[in-house]
Amino acid sequence: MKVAFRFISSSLLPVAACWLQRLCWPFIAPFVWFLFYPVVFLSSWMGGFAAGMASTLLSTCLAWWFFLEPVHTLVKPLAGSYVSAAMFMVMGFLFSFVHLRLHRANREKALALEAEHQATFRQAAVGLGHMTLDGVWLQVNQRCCEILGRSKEELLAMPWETIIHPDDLEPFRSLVRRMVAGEFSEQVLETRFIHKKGSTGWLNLAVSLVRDAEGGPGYFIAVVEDITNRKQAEEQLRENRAILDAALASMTDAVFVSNAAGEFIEFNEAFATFHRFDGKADCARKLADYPDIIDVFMANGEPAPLDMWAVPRALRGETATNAEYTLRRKDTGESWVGSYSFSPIRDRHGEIAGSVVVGRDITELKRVEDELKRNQARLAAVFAAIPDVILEYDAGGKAVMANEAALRVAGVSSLGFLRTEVVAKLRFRKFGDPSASLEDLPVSRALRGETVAGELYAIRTADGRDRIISTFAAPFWDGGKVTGAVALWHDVTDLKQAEERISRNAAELERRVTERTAQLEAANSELESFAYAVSHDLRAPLRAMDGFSQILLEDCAEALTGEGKACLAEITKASHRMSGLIDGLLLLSRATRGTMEFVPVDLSALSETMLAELARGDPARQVHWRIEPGIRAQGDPRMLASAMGNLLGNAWKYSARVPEPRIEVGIVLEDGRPWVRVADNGCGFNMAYGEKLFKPFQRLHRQEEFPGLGIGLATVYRIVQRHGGSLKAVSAIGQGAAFLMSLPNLSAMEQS
Amino acid sequence: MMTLPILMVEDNPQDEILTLRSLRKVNLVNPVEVVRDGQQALDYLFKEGEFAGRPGPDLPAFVLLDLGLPRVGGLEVLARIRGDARTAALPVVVFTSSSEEEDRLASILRGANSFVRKPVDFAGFAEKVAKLGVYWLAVNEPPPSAR
Repeated sequence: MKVAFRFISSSLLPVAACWLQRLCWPFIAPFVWFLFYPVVFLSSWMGGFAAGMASTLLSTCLAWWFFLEPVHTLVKPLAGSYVSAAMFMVMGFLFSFVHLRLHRANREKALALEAEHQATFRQAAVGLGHMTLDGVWLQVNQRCCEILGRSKEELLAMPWETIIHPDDLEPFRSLVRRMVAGEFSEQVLETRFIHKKGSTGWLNLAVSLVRDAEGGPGYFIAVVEDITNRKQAEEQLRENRAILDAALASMTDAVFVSNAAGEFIEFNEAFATFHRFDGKADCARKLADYPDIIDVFMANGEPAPLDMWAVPRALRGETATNAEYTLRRKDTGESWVGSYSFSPIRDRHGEIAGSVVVGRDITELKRVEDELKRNQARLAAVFAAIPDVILEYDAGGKAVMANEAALRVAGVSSLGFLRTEVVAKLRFRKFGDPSASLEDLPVSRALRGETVAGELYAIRTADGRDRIISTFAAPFWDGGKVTGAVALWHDVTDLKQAEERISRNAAELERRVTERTAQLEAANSELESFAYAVSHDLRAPLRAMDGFSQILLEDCAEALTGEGKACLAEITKASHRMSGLIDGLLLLSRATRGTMEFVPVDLSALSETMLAELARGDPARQVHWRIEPGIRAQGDPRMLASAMGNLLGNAWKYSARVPEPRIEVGIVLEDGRPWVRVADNGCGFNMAYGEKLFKPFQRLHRQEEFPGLGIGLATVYRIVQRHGGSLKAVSAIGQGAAFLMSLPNLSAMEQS
Repeated sequence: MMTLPILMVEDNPQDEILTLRSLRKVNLVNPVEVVRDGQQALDYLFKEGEFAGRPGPDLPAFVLLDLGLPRVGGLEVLARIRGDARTAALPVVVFTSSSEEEDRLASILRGANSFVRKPVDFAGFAEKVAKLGVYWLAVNEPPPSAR
């Protein structure tokens, strides 16, 4: 039809040209063929060879009739008319022929193209299909059939939706709708499909909408690719990735992975913690500034240049385990030690594609290690310095450790000797029992689990000296088994010799003590009888002197001159003085004789009583006294009373000549201990003679000034001495005297 | 009624003289028997030895006993006096130079009726002896068995 129409319309074109040329003839004449040439060309172009030839004939006829002079006749007078018509027809033939050839060439070309296209479609490595807008396959290629697992016939007989997995159907439909609506003309999506066998696979579906000549939706071209394997691989990869993530997260070691450029592409939580970041996110933010945040030092303490850090080393192909770096945060100054293991990651061509570095915080480990080293050094120093022999044996009795003393004594230079060798070499003998069996030496027993302490053995050292040693041995336990034993020999030779000397001396000493004791006892008893004699027998002659002097005065008064009577008076005076001296001697002797009892004594109360007594005995005097309350000491009540009596008596006596006599009893701290202080404001004494003060019968005042025997302070001195205390005096002439007495457990407690 | 004697046990002849003189001064009628050691004193009291079958009353009015005596000591004499039923109630005055507390205590514990210290000055001595004589002979009521 179309061909026929094209033929007719194109062959009738000369009629239109004829009409147009007649209208415009005044302007065109005399060019008879003016419009017919283009018409013939056009007709042959449009309608092909036949239309061209038809148009040529018709044009010739029309021009012959209407335009060649004379018009409207068939026969023309001019020969030129015939020539021009023939030429026109030749030209028409040529036009038609050329167009015929052109058309033919075009058609062949189109056919070849179509064939090629069809071949491409059929044999494409990807699945191809054409589909109508309402979802029916127009055509599918072989690959598409293979992918979908169905034959071409089967596919063409079913709507294409049926191959889509029901779960993915809705997105797919939506896509189709939107494409038809003109939102976009091509789209790629990954969707699941149902294989004929019922299995589910994955498709990469590229759909493009082909529009028809008017631009409306025509049909779809679908490029179908089976990506099931890729999807599975991806899934596998995802799973592996999850495992890797879990593994990294659970690791306490810091792990980081870099690419070939040294940029971190992976790190775990432990890595963030290791570098003192606040978690992974914080770490990720700051990782690029790593060299600005953290200083790195080599194991020798030198700053590590950037290219000596773990990642660059790994990227250079180095592999290391337990490389040590010290890290320090620049901001906080915190420093820690890391042990690094690293290696490069190589791709399948062996090229370095990145690095993996594992770090572990060994700060604590290092600290413990250092501590251990220090302890070992300390132990070694102690062992070396100790004069005692220290030996360690393994379970088989072989020496595994020996200090310098041990090597010296045993005369060996290296370890490994056997216990039994030492025993034989040093001639071990049980001290005091040389014939005793050596079966049960301390170390043997220690190796059986016993602990031995202080057993004595005699040995001869490597340099030939006989020594006595006190041995100690103890087992090492490991899991309930004895794995070795340590032995210590302490040289007690000197001690033993000293002990012997001492025990020899002790008997002698005992004898001497007994002897001296007897002597002392004798002396004491002599003293006793002397005192008794003084008390008893020395008085009788004095009494006789006094008595008979009196009798003489009474009975023979008339016979005596005044001088004689004076002489008798002197005899009486002397005897009284002598009697006083005897009393004093007795007093002194009593103060230091007898056993003492130690009880708490209230010195304040005692002083009060004594001063009251003195005041009663000497009512003429007005003496003010002040006594610190609650002064207590531990001692013999009679002796302390005597001491206080003497001191207070002195104070009373020597303050007799001052206008306002005062006596004070108190407690003072001097030389870091408390003293009882008895002070008066009396005449005092010259400290230059102070040393005489505490000696018997030594006086600092003449008899006429202050009568006395010179026995009181001597007595006080002895009493204080017997209590383990001290006595001292402070005075100056005319400025009173103070006597200080320290006593056991002296205190001034407030009386409750 | 018989005038009972005073038994003076005194080894020191000077003290003896001074004591007798002092007693005389107060005009006592009682005689003074003097023995010079402990043994003699005991013999006198129990009429033994040199005093076996001596005349006169069995016991003196009181005994003036020194402590430091030859042969048998004063305290021993006192113990023997108190240990014998015949002399257990006899007044005994210990009269001595000693001022030792031990002597004082021992004398009283052994049953001395009084302990008097001999002062060294004669005036005091004479006064004490006089008072002793008056007291034990005139003031004090003697024990029944002494009658």
